[in-house]
Amino acid sequence: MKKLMIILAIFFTSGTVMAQRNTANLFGVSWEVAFPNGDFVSKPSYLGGRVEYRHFFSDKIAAGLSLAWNNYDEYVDHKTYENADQTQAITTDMERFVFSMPITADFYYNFKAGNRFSPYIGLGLGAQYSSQEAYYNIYVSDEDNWGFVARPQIGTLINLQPTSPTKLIFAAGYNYATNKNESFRIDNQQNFWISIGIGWKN
Amino acid sequence: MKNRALLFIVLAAGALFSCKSSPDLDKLSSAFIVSTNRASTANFSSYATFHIPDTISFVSNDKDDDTLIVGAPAQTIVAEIKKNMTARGYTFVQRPAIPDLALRAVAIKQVNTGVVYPPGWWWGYPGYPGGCWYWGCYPPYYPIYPTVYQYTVGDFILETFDVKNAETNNNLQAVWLAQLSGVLSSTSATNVQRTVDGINQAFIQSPYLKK
Repeated sequence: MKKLMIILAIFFTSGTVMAQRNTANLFGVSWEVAFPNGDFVSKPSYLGGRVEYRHFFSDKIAAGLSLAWNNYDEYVDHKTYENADQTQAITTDMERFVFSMPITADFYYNFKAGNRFSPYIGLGLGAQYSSQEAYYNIYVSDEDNWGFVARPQIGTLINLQPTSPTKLIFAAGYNYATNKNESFRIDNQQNFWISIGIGWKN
Repeated sequence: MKNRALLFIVLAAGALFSCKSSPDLDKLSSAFIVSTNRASTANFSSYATFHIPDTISFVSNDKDDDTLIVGAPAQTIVAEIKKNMTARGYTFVQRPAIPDLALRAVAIKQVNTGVVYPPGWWWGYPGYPGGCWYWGCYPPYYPIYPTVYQYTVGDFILETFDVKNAETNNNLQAVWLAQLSGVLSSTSATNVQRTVDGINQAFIQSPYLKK
């Protein structure tokens, strides 16, 4: 891992070295839509994105870093919540809001590229920051936490023109994070996501 | 490529710093939050009678406010409590008769002052990385001034004490507590109606409270 970070740092800082070694790099930014798989929020997040860097060690193997984020916002109508022994109850409507930001080291296997499509599979491993908020009347309950995250994905780069460094990036994947929130009874955070983006590859 | 990458990083940084959105609070109702608590040892079917005064105790940090709510607002609220208690099988008794359950209503009003911050308040906030943008290293400027505002928060608390077993218990145990909380309207009628709605909800979510 340490070796990989050093290699990435070198390629980030030296264009000359990159050219001499005939390696490839990709910088991408994507719009990411996420569909949560949990009880606290159920509506999709359309306010998400991802920025990423990939270094291609060969035609098949690449690794990089990415940072994604999503905002889930959902109104929950009046409902009564009770504690376990049913001695306490509270009734309110609320606005639930979750922000999540996975930061991962990514590993890719690229399949044989055609003229237009360069499909790949990948796995991102890292940490996820998340904040969970519940707004009711004039009050708010909120908590933020970190967890381990795994992001398996499939995708493809699309060549707009054979010689152009600009690529379209289509990807879909799953996000599993261990972020917990006892107050909101969240044991983990999971979502399915799809994304479309643009990248520059040298 | 290097320039493009630099531009990309700058754009990505810009996107990152604005990536957390704000929740849409437009749908939130202004109905009071209704919470109830009961003593797990209380046997509510063992009580037969109750009493509640016609007035409501009033606690406020506004020095001009009185310490008691009387008249039509208090009568409307107390009548709603009586109606619910009667519907659950309890009989209202006037003093000096000693009831099994004594109810007391307390309203709390607190005037608070806050500030609405303009967009960009997070600039310079601890942990915010800051830095230069591709058009230069200028500090941000937002031609929007903070707005000072006042809001009034209210709580309505309905306490129910076990008078029947006070001597045996050697204390006056609170067996049921209903609390309504939320921002108050400037209109008294609206606050009274929200309180009435909240009282009804408190009884709905307490089905164990019956003779």
